[in-house]
Amino acid sequence: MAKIKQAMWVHGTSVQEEREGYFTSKRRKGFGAVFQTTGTQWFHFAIPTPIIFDNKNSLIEKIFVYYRTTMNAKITAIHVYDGVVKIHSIDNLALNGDHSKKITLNHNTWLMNKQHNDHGGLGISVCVDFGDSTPQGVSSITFCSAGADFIIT
Amino acid sequence: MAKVDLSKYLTYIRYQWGSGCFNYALMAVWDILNEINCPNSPNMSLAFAQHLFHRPDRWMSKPWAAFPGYYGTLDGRWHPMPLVQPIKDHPYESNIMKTNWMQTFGNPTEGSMPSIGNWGYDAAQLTREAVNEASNYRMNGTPTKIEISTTKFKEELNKYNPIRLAVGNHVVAIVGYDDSLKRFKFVNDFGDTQYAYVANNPMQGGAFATFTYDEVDSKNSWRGYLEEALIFQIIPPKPVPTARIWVKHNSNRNNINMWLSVEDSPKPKKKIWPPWELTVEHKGGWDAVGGGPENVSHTLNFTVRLPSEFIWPPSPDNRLVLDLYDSDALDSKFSKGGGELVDFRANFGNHIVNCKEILNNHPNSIKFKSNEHKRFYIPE
Repeated sequence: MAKIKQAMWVHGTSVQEEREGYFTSKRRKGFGAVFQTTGTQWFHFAIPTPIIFDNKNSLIEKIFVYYRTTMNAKITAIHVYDGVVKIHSIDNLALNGDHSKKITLNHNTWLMNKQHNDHGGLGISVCVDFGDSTPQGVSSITFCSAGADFIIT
Repeated sequence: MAKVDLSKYLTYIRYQWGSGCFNYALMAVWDILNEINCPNSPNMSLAFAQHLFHRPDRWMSKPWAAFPGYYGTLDGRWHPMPLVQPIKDHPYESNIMKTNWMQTFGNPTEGSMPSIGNWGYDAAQLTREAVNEASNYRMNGTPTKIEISTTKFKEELNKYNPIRLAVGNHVVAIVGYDDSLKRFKFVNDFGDTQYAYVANNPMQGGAFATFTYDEVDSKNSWRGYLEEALIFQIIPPKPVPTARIWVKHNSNRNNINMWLSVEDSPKPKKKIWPPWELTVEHKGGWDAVGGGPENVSHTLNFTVRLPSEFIWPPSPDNRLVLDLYDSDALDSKFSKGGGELVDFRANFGNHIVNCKEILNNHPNSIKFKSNEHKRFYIPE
């Protein structure tokens, strides 16, 4: 039986910062959302999720986070949520640079093959370590897009 | 010979326009701890602490306290304010220092509270910006009472802990020591002209004076009996975008009016000086507090948070604006008018962007005259 594949994406401007405060300088531009701060911060994407398609359940095949960093900022963890349930963790990362335009496996694209358990929508949480500010500037991350491939079996 | 001087972490010298010395000393301690842990942090506002002091009925008793023993903040939270046994001569201070607001709520910064306020009434309530920022400036636990002795004071100062000291009917902050002089240095809260500079005691002058080691060990000083010494532990704040402004006035820094804004922003300019408390205490302070208007600070060197709408970093299409106006409205019979802007820079942690107009003029500062308005930009 042929698998039906769906790709659901959101633009980076929709990302939400977990702990908001005056310690983060943020701006939303046409190309994405830019955050500058120090220390560690979590960011969250809510991905539109086809839980049921034509009376069939979906399987999460891949997730994507397109981004670019400056200075010391690096992504240290990606956690994937099915509603309230964490279904996948990718920890101990140190990802930086420009990964905003094309797919690069294990840099902005991760294979999942996880059954969606009908708890709710798909959430992608990204932990960023900005490090300290320096005389040259304050580290930044720009979130450009995020999404997921679903397989309907 | 060992010595420690934490006063290098304290640029903002306060002037006590009335009662509340314990809060002024607390904020000096807090500023030092912030600057050590997170350089270029904004200076702490007195407003909330003074409000708790002047309106104990808001948290101690009905009808103003809906739940006595708790203080309700604008964000809907109730903060436990357990009443404690007061120490002699310092009844309110004891309660304010040992209750939980510094741990559960935190404290706002200069420039975030109303510029026209009133300690005694509800105008001293917190603004939304103050509520939003306060959690970044919190204490980690209640203050620790320490032994009053030379050995203990030196031990704490060596650990970068300034000491809030109740002495006589007053409270100051111990900020350093020098074994060669056998003296502790403290900062007072009556401006930067209170103490004369003397040749044989280089730790004294301006806002700073000293106690000898013997005075500390005997708990009996020229300023009165040493009653209680407290140290504080902060939760290190995260850096926020700030401006450091250093200005000198020829007679009285309260003549200077300053606003920060983002160029072309439709939002109101952020009034950063004078701070709100000075707009209140004039009415009592001018006459009631010894010294009068001539006995105030000339220098203002302080740090305030940038307007919330400012997006870091400054750039030609995103300029930070400082408006400065010397009203020369105070002190007119003594006033020489005018002054100079020594420094103006924007900071986000260790990233500093200077006002080039000032740098280009270095080593001279930018002069301003009485009743003159000047505007400075970063970048120019």
